[in-house]
Amino acid sequence: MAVWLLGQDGTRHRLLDPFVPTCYLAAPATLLDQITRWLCRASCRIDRCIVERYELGALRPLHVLEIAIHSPAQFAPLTRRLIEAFPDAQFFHVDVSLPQRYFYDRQLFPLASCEADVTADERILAIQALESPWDTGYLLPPLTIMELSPESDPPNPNHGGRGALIVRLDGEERMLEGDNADVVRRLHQLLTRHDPDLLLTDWGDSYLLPRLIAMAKQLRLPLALNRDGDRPIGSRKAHSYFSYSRIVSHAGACTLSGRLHLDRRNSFALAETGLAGLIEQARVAKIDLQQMARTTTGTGITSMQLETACLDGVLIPYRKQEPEAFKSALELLHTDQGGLVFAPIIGYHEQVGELDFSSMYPSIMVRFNVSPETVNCRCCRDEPTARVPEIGHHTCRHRQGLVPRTLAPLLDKRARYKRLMAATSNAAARATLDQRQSALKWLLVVSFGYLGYKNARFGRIEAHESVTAYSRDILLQAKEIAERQGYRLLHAIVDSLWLVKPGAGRADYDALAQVITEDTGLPINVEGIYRWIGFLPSRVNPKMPVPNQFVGVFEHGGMKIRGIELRRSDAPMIVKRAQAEMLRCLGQARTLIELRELIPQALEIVRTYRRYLREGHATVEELAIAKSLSKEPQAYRHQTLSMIAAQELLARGIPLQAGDTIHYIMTDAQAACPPDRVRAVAGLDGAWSYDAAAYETLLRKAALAVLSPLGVTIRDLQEDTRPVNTPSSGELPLNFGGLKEEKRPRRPIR
Amino acid sequence: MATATQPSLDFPSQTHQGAPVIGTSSHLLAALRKSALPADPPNGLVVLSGHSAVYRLGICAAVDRALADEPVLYLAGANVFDPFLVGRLAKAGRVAPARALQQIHISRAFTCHQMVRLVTDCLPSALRTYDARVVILSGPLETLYDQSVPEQEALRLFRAMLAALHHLVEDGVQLVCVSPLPVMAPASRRGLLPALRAQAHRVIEVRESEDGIWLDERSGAGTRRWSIPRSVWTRL
Repeated sequence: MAVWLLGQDGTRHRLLDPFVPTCYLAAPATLLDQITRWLCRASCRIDRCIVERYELGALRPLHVLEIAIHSPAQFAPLTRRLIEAFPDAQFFHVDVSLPQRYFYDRQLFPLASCEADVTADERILAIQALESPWDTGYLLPPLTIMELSPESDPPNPNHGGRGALIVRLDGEERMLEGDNADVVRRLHQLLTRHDPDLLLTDWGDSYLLPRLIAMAKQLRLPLALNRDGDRPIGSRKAHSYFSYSRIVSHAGACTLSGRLHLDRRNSFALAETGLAGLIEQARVAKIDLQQMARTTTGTGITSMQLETACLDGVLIPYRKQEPEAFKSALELLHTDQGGLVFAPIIGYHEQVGELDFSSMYPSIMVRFNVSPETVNCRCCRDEPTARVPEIGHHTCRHRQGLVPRTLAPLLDKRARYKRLMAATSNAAARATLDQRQSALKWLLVVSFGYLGYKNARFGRIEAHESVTAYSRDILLQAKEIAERQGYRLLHAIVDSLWLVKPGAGRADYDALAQVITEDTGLPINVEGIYRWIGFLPSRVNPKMPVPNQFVGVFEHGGMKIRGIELRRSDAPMIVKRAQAEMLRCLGQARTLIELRELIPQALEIVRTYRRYLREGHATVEELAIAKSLSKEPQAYRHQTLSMIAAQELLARGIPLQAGDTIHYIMTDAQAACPPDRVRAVAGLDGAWSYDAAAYETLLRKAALAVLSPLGVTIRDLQEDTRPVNTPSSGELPLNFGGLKEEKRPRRPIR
Repeated sequence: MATATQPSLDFPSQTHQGAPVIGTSSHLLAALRKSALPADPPNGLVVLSGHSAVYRLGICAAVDRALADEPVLYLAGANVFDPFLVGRLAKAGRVAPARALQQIHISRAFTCHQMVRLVTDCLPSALRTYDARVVILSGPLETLYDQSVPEQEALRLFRAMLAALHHLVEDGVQLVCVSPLPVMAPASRRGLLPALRAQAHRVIEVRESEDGIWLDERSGAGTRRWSIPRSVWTRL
């Protein structure tokens, strides 16, 4: 196993650690003989012995063949061939990545401070971490970072647009221009001169690195992207997959050896939690930083569970095979429910308190010992305290499960980060701590979903059902406690409650939270007291409440917004900006009376934006609508706006796949000829126009979403000016006077 | 080829007095039982494939037996079982929803390994436990389309599943397999559905048109065809 260390003197060392990965298999004796003979023919040294190991939750051990492969490079191909040759055997520990296995085995983690005994020929004799992944006050090694980005900032350079390459290093920015050979030569010089530890890119995975590599290859020029020149650059193709009923596109990967490559545009962890958060996740999950950046958070929590299993000597199954036990459809109806929701009382309310359970689902798993092997255990069937509320399941009261054992230190570490954040006055330190706690929060969030996820190694649907059953019971308890104390419930959703009580202040809500925590055994905190909060109705049926769709202003002036355009990725920037400005205006109100007084100002903001649109000032960036393709572009039957834009890109030879995000502007949304309705942003040239009326409609909807509960109607937002197709700034405006709205002219795009 | 087209089934939408028919869905179940999915004698392996309406038809078939107090095993491979549809159909048949729901025994498989284990190992014992002879396999191929499962492994599991289904049919079990056309299947696995259909004793194509859902069965004697009017289908 090649291990890169950064010495105290700043030297980078490539060391070799003679790591011997193992796997296990169980099979009848006759099959085992065949497998043994097969293994004897392997080209590398393999040690075998029969050992006793436990499957998760098993009371008796399994006799399994332990196979130690002395050439780590042979591990994956050999186990793959073994599985193909003997599909009837049961395999364990075969598909966990070797860097992870190495970290588990050596008790190391990425970017750990460590000490190693090394031979003269750079082989590791012993290596140990000098810190724990659960430390909160760790320092990071002084990594040299080089940033690479395309010159312009297009929504997606793969969809069009060209420009120079920007290189940032030590606070300096260089623009690499010229022909391809110049760019490759200069980048190679910079890489060899500065030898960065980390390449931080924008669009590196899908665009920059593949193109640079192809250019270097075509021109036969060296390009030292890898620090370890003997190894190839790792690549993975782009692909689409389903996640939470949504199709998601993954841009593929371009990974380096001896140097890290992180693509800011292809990393959920990096985008959500920054570099500090990504490193935090990699440390606790023990996943190589490049993989952690590109994988799902669920893989992180799985890795933590796998480590717990390895440390406990529990076998990691190759494929989860145990199906759900048969239950009647009536039982299914009772058990397979999600979290509890009390629909909100539509409208604006004053002096509302919000109480949130802290990491409710993972806390339930730890507090009530919910784990695949502890649910419906044999030992606690008749134990009343083990019973899961409402449903027929129970959890073990004797042995702590693998999932709670994995989650408990994570919950504890996050709580410590939050305490440190509250104690520090240094803004930069608080920001880093926030990124780290946020990274842990994401791991905790997905830990629940993974109990029921198909590919979760230690998932089980009954455990998933138990967690939601506990959560419903606890939310109900919290509601009843609050109501006994005179509070009125306005809204509740899974782990949050919005309550109101005339005259109640912060101290009263804190006291209530204390009582709920004591009675339920789960920590609940006061998220804040709102000066006012508006629970917004359905746009289809104004009498229908919508859970988790609200705007509110806290006592300290901060706003909390959920479910409206401002939070939606597909709303154009101009609509978001108008809504934000409107909310900033309304946010000045301290009471509902003041809020109503500000309505005319909010309406004026909408009018200003409408004028701005109509006068043709809006830019592409303000108008671009981002939509994700919910299926392969060829599978669309209807001419939706996003489909038309996708067809335009496809016609230009740009490959698209399901889950890809495309950006377009509406040019004439009602045009009879579909291609005239929209234009892909990537293909816009100097001459284009936008459909001001269509954007005004979006603007009105955004305004009404917030203002309709205050009595504002669509008539209040209407104007007498007729909408027109407005040319972009710089073009001569056309005179559309006298035309009716429904017969809007369509101006051909040049 | 001679084609014998059977007239569309008559699903009355109004009583003779002109009032809306409450039991329209009951008529649907009865019509399905009499035509496409007869209860007796066992038809062996019946495959309904095509439009995603097959999932609801699978539930209709399960409810029809449940309303006759017959236990049904329902293997869910696509996790689209809708207990509320069962409840509505039961109510329309003037049976307490709980009674129908209790007659349907369900197990969900989220991976192809689970699905195949369910069919090969768990199903025979479940048939004995619940004294059932009718099995609905809902979306058995969906899990096999998972790209994270290697090609050869998926094919091996598919063959194991087919062999187990064959044995069950030999034992007199009525198997109704509902399988929509693959949407996200890798190109190399699009042959699984035709292979499943080739093993079936009856294959019914399900498609949607403006006027409703059409069920077509081609056989040596020609094509039999039934329709479910949209008015009935949307009210289910």
